[in-house]
Amino acid sequence: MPTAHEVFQLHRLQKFEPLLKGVRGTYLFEIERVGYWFISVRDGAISIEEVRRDADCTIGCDEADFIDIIEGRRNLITASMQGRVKIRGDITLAQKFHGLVSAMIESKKREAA
Amino acid sequence: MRATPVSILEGDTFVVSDRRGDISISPEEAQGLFDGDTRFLSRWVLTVNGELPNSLSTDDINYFSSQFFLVPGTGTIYVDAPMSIVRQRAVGGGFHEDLKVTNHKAKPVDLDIRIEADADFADLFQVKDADFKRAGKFYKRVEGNRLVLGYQREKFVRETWITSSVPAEIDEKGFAFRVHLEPHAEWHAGLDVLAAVDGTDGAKRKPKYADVHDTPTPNVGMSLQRWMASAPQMHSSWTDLERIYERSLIDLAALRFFSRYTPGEALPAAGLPWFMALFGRDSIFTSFQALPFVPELASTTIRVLAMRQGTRVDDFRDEEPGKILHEARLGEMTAFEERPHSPYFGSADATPLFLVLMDELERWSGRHELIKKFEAEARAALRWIDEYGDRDGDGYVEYERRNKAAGTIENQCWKDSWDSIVFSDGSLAKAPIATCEIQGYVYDAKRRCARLAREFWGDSELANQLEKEATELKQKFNRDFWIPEKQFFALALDGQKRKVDSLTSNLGHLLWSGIVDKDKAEACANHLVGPHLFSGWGVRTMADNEGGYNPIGYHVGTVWPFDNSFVAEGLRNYGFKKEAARIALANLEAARYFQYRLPEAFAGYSRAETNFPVEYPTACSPQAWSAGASLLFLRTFLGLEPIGDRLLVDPAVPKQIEWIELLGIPGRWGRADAFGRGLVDV
Repeated sequence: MPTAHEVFQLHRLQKFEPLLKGVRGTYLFEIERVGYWFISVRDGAISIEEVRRDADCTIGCDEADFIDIIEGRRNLITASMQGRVKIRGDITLAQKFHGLVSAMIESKKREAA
Repeated sequence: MRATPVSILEGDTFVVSDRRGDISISPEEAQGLFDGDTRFLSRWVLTVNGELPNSLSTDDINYFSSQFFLVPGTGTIYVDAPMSIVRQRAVGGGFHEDLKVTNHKAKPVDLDIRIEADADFADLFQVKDADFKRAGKFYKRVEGNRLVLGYQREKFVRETWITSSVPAEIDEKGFAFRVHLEPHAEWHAGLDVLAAVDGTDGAKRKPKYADVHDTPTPNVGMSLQRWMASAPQMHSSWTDLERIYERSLIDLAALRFFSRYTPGEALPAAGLPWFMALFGRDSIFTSFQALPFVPELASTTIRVLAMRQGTRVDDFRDEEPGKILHEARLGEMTAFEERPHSPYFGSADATPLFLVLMDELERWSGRHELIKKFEAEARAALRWIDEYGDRDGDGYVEYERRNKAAGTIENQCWKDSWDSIVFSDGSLAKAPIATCEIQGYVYDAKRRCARLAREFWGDSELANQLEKEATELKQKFNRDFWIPEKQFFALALDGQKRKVDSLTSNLGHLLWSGIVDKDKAEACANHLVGPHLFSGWGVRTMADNEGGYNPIGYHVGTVWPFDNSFVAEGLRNYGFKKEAARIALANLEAARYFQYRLPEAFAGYSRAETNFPVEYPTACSPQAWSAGASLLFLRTFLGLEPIGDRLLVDPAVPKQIEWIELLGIPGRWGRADAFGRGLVDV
């Protein structure tokens, strides 16, 4: 299983994701005892920085849940309902995170191919 | 006969109690304090000196508050009570309760007053199914002046925090007050009960209202007074109609809530007690009904449903790209994916209806920015109709649920009970099922989206294609669904493409959609007001001479005011003004027997047989689309229709109502007035 560092490192080089076209906003991922990642999405253009910064939407969870969500084994909405993920700020953006997850999974599949 | 429970609500928080104000679990009654589909109190019982007081009277002060007047004693033979007890309760994020005890005697008295409290934190699904097997652990603790009742399953935590404004002995069972009252003296206590999610109070330190006489502030960004003032003013010679109108507006305000899926966007929940949640179909129909009155509902409904539109194929949730959700829940079973409602996509009609509402909103409000903003979602919905809705490529949208687990929906149309789609001999139709009204909605959606594509999306090619498809669908539908020997449209085509030949109210929805050929409309109208469908109080869901008919069957014989409002509007659209007025009047007359509040449904017994409309045992009340029904009936009476930037008024008011006046109808014209005199002999 990858680590959160590896996941973000993998996607740091990606500059554009068509699945996120129409999404504009910033996310801060707070991965417990691991670190903070700030992601800016502007109509499909993505930038990822390992830094703690105010964002439109903050998503906090432990590393195992984060990886489960990223790899599609756990649903963000139900994870949030279970108390595994804490979402603050713009929840609409968090819901768009589904798209981000799909994008990451698709990207991973493309790389593997 | 059991006493009617007392229900008060504020958004998705509601309390159901007995006539004393007590809450306890019983097999007959789903009582409790509910918030976010979870029961945060399952026991709340007041005793004085070890005895339950008796109820003298119970009043609803407002939709969110009630008061209970109690006295000690057995209540079998009334003797002058030595004291009176008044409980006043206001719900919102939990509830606040004021307790007042007055000693009426000339002697002092010492009292042992207790409030017993407990919480089972049951998911509303479990309450409904009386299934209380739990996977988590319960706990209780006293923290200073606070009693905490808790439940934890992994990281899922729900707590109830209870505090008192006056000193009390607190233990894990509740609160005890030792009270000494001098002659004619009063004692007061205030109790706050807070629904704390994840073991935190979030932003809530207190329940929403600290007093039952607080100014109501429904989740509409304004006070109830302003909400009422913003709606058109309605006056009529028939004062009952004014009361029904006022009740409907208050209920629509009360039923609005901020879903945790959609913070900042208040939209109507479906109904109390079982459906205090986001429902796609219900929100759309309610918003449509309310457009000439409170147009804000439609824009929030479109925004919220667009935001949660399906994006992937997910068998568990019956989700597909472009599909509009059916129901969103927040309880434990949904959180742990024991139910698919996060959200669940088990309806085949919400998607075309979403498109219908988009167009209708623009016609009334001129809000074309929304049409442009949600172009991608509208196109995705159109693609869903053709790529996923039409499962076998025969040109009709049909449904068959992919998730067959408990709690999922077999019939994914508005008549969604398991036995609603039956042949005339009473036998069940087998899936995949294409119900007739869904084809009507698809026809209407394509026709309307053609206009949107041409006028706002700059895509005349799509507009032409949609118009062509709508025309072809209408021709095909009038051929394939029509039953010549019965002179009505089949309720559905079943999995073997057989016509499901029961006579039902769905004919009215077909008229509303415009899919019915003109030469077939009169036969439909005659059936709708004929003796088998029309009970005298309204149009039955199923004709009384059908094999599946049951006057107290949920979708196979009862009268649904929401259904009737679309039937009447459909008749009106085809020029059957008299028939429309007759149905609208009958329903509104029935409302007088339900405290001027149309319930979800009532029994299909004939008016001549019962003289009053008979209650349906588990009907939700208030229910959003029933509250909306009276609004759509008014639109039908007055013949309100936007024509470009003007409002057309073409009244057809029954003679029984001398006149109706509706002042300040909001729309793209600003505000307009309508007046109708009762001239139609129904």
